[in-house]
This record gives sequence, C-alpha cells and structure tokens, in this order.
Amino acid sequence: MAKNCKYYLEKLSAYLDNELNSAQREGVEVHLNCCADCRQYLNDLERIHGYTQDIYSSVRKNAHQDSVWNSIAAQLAENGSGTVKNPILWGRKRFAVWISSAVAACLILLSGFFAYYAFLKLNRNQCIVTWVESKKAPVMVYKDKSTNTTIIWMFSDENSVSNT
Amino acid sequence: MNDAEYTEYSDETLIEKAKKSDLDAFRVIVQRYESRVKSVAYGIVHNEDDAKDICQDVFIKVYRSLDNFQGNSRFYTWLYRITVNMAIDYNRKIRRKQAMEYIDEINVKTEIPMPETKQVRPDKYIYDKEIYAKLNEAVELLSEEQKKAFVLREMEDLSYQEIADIMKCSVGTVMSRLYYARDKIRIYLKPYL
Repeated sequence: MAKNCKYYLEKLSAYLDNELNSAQREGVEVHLNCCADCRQYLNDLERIHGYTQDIYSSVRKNAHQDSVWNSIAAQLAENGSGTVKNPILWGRKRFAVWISSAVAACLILLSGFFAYYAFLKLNRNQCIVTWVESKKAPVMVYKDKSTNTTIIWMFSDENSVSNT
Repeated sequence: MNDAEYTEYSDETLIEKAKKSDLDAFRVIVQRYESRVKSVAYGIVHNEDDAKDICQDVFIKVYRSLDNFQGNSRFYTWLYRITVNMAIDYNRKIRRKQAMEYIDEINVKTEIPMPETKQVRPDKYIYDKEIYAKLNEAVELLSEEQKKAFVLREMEDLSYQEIADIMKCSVGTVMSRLYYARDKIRIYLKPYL
C-alpha cells in the first residue's frame, strides 16, 4: 500500500456516501485508478454496505407492521398530562437511588467503624480522673496509662492548688 | 377535521396542534415516523421487540417534551437525537442487567431478520445468516458515537450534515466516525469478504 493511501482510505468512506466535493472526488478517482489496494478497500466497503442494506431493508419492512400508536394512546390516557414513568429512565433513576442509598449506608458504616476505633484507641491510653471530696480539701487524681504517671491535685482552698 | 387533512399538514403544524393536546395531530406524527424510529432503534439494539418498546418510549417522551421543542432545528433531527440516545441508554441498561445475571448477550438478545429472497440455496442461506450475525456483532463492537453515526447513515441514509445536526458535532467528525466505524467492521468481517 502506497504512503499516501492512508489519506485516501479516510476519504473512501465519504466517497461511497457521495459526500465529497468534485475536486476531492476526482482526486480519489485518480488514486483508485492506480491503486489496487484502495480499490479492494472500496470494494469491501461496498460489500459491507450491501449486507447492511439487506438486513436493514427487512427491518424497515417489518417496522411498518404492528403500529405502536394504540399502546402510546393508552399510556397517554392512563397518565393524563402528568409525568409518564418512562421505563428506561425510571429504571435509571431507580438504579441511581439504589446506588446513592448503598453509598450512604457504606459511609455511615465507615464513620461508625472509625468512631469505634478512635474510642478504643483513646481508651487504651485512658486517663482516669477521680475527684474526691474530703473535709480538709478536695482531691483530684489523674492517671495516664500510657506513661504510667499518676498526678494528684489537692485543693487547699479555692485559689491555691498543689500537686504531687 | 378528518385524517386526510391532518396527513397533509407539515410537521411544524402538527406539532403546534399536538402542543395544544390534539392527540389526532400527534397520532399522525407517530404514524409518519414510527417505522424510522423503530429502524434506527433496531440498528442499535438489534432486537425488534426491544426496538418497538424503545419506539413507544421515544414518542411518549416526545409528547411530554413538545413544549421544549422550540422549532430551531428540524423536528426529525430532534426525534432522531432522542431515539439514538434512548436506544443507547437501553443498551447500557441491558448490558448492566446481563452482567449481573451472567447471561450470554449474543444468545439471548440478538435476532437476525433474514432478508426475503425468492429461492435461496440452503448453503447460501446459512452463509448469509452467518454474515448478518457477524455484521451485527461488528456493529456491537463500535463505540457509541460510531454506532450512532453508522446507523443513521446506513439505516436512514441521512446526509453528513443531518447526522452532524443530530449528534451535535461537525461534519468532519461525522466523516471520521464513519470511516473508523466502517474500518472496524471491515476488519471484523474480513474473512467473509
């Protein structure tokens, strides 16, 4: 196949459809006269077109039978002037609702899982704070498990605090 | 007003009447275009029953959307656009369903209407049937945009400009899509050509 065949191959489909202007058409015909590969390519396209027409002509013939008008009229009468639930579109909407519900459920589960995980992590290093009221002074005990440290505050009066 | 009078009206006049809930006018529109809508839908879904269902849905959608049709483009351009889009949507839906149900697409969906011929040799009949099946398979391999362009051209014999209007793209893009579509089909059918 010649180097410039690629250019003409792209044009052959439009040539077959009679969509080229006269200059382009002439250029293609000149090339076809001297290129057997492109002639073969055009021949293949014509055969495909022939097969397609064979199938589609019988489809067109069948399409004339069995009008859909009665079904359309019945559906229009049933639904009045309001919105008709188009089976295809309705299916798509239902699918979209289903997907968004599934996503929302997953998000809720994930956030619950993370909250539980964070709670467990916090509890692993839990700090215990105890407040003890006594006659002398109230005492607050703070224990950090991760560092194994205990801090005790003793409140002698309202304004002073001592810790151990 | 009788039927004969309605059938003489242009699309635009019928649409204006249908917009005012004149169902007789809409019936004439349906009768005028239903075979074309079915054919285009068939070209995409390759099943006559599905094509009929799509045709019905298309006209119901058209009737519901008549107020949105401003008349800036030709009616059939708008109608074909709705048809190819709904047929493609239908195909996607069927594919999703089949993917979920693990059904073999070709065995279940594809039906090949054999062209009527006078007296065909049995071996020729079988050979043709195989080619038509392969052709349908090849069309299934096209991208959605290539398929739309191919079906509108082969089925409806629309010009590149009309296809460009329907697909809202340039004539050059239509030319390119048709070239790639036919090239893909040619490669697929090469053993039979």
